[in-house]
Amino acid sequence: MVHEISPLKKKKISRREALSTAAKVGIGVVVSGVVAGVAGYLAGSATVAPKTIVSTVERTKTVTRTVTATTTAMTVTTYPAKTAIAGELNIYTPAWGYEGTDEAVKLFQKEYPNVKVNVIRGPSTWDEHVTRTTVWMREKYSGVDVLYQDDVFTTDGAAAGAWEKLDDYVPKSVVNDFTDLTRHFIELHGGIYRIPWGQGGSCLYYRKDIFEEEGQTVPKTWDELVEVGKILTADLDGDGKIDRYGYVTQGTPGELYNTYNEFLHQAGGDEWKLAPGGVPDPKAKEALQFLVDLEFKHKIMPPGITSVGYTESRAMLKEGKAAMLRDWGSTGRRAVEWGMADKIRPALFPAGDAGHWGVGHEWGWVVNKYGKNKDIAIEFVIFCLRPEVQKILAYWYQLPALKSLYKDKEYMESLQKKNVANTLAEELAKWWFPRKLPPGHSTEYHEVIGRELTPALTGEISVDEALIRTQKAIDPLLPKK
Amino acid sequence: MRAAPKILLFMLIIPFSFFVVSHLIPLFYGVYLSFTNREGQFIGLGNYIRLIDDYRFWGSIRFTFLYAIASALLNTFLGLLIGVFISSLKRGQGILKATFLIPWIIPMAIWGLEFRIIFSRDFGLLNYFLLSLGLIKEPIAWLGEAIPAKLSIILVAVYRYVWYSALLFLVSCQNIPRDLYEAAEIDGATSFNMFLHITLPLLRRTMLFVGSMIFLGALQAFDLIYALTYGGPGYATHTAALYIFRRSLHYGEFEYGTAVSTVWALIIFCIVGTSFALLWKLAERR
Repeated sequence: MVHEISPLKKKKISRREALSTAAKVGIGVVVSGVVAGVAGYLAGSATVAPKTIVSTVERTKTVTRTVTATTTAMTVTTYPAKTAIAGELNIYTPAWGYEGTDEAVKLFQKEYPNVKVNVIRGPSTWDEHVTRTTVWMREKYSGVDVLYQDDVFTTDGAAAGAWEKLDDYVPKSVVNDFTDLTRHFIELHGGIYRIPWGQGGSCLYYRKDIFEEEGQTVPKTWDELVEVGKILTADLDGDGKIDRYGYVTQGTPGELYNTYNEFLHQAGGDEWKLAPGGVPDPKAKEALQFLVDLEFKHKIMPPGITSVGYTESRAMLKEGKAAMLRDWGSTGRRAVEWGMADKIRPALFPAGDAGHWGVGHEWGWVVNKYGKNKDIAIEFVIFCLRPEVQKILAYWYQLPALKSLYKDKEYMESLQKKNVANTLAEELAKWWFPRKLPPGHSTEYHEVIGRELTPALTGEISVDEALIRTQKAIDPLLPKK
Repeated sequence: MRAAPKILLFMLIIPFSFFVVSHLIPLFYGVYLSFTNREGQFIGLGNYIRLIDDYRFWGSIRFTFLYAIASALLNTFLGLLIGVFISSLKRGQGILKATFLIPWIIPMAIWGLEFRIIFSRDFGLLNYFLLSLGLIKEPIAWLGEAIPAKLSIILVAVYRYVWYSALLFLVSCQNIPRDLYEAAEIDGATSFNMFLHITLPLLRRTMLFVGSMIFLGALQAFDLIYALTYGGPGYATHTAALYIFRRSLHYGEFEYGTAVSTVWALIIFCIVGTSFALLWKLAERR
């Protein structure tokens, strides 16, 4: 068959023809390279490029360290070098942990000059991070000693026995100094499996300039959210098309879980009891119906929300195509980077019957039980618990995980300058809840909830059906009674 | 028959050993894994029984076939039209052939990412053009609803592969003896008649080849869909390969994932066997 359709092979090709064809193919390759380059650039621009940090640390007892990202200088205490400890340390971090990792490693190496630290720079998307971590965990990979992980993988890794339990290494005074959210996680994980970088969570961001123009105040209840959202949803140029939506969130599977979970907690529901015994729970139903109504009934949320991810939703807020956005603390940092700290402001989520709940979460170091350099890894993560290192790590996260650091007014002010969400730190932290991730199945669990609820948001099935299907899908993943 | 020289036997052993190590051992190990659970205990047909009730797997099979059939039909039909049209051109065929290779060179993941931007509801080029031309009143969430998302994936795949199939048809057209057309012209046949009675019958085998290759390739679809929709919204655009990936590498259920892939491999094996038997018969009939 192939011979039949490849007669060109039999034909004698002149030199001129050969050159002409080569030139054409060459042009083709160049054009495709340009197209691929542009696409790659566009795709790449969706992620945050690592910033250059100029760090000047001297070997004295107390030194001043300058971070170019803000105007604030931080004081870091250093200790005599521990030259007796020597070896290698492999640290993995996804893209959103590059800066903090680099800073912590620099400080660590000042004190441990004989430890060679290799930073494994991970992917910039959650999906790729999931795949890599899952495979490493399952295969008991020994090429990495310390990993930067969130609640999902800390829970799963702890359950799978992949992470080292650190209770014996963390001083009691430090445990007592952990914030309530951090303590919640320690309880959920059944011990200390992670040294946190800080604590953070979701909140409502709103465009202050748009609210002022329209003479509106930030909604405090669900009813007000709908009311204000309707006013702010507008056809601005009179062409019959909506140019600005009142509210936007992320509807892609993992994020839909978070979005829904927030509404569910605000309504007073329980994420493990969406439709127990095949009967939709009234609170679970109320929360999902409200979310669906925002799009279909009240029309204050853009259609097709299930394809709206971080990039689109943040761009909508930035460009004024949405007046309110549900998002994580990192967007407060972006608002500063965009030069929009005066326009994009944080607020508590509008309350349902049970309050203003948002998801509280943490990222931090876990130690690989199967790593080749476990002792040095433990030395490193415990080093990162020092208040001065915690200050830096929290600086790259959102808020500190140590209560004592909140008393340092100068430091807390510097955090507010870096991240607009932190201007509301105390109020937000009161309303952060840790998600009930089932140990050993967290990855699947949170994604399955998002994917199973999606058909309700695309109008394919009813809210009741979606809840029943979701409950059926998560039941096998929940801990057995 | 003369016995093969020893050297030839040794030459065969080396590649065969590689094949055994890289393909056969993992294949049998995978099948073995499918009979175990996460703890490595033998559970018999447990994973396969679970598969029967897994509506997400069957949903992914349905979409894979929809995608493969639609891709094969559209690529064959449109490729044929484009190929025949280009072959009728007196000039510019060379540059067109080179141009056709451009989509082929772009990696599928980049292709998917490009179109994810193009299909964006609020920032995409497609909605921008459709709105500017007055063809739609409100932007469409191409990737946000099940049917438009499925349609978008099929269109993107066709847009990528159709040039390749057009190239194959073009080459086949050039292989048809000119004297057949000259004789038909003398007999007073119209262009359409010549297409219907000369071109089409003589391109029958190419059509079958293109259709089969695209169909079989589409059964393994993964990268485009992963880059474009991640299998969403919900599970709407999950293909079998994407579902196997999600189960095995995303959720760490290697054992269940291998059970799914074993069943899927058997389904593909049956289809490939039938396709080749069909191709063989047709080739013989000629």
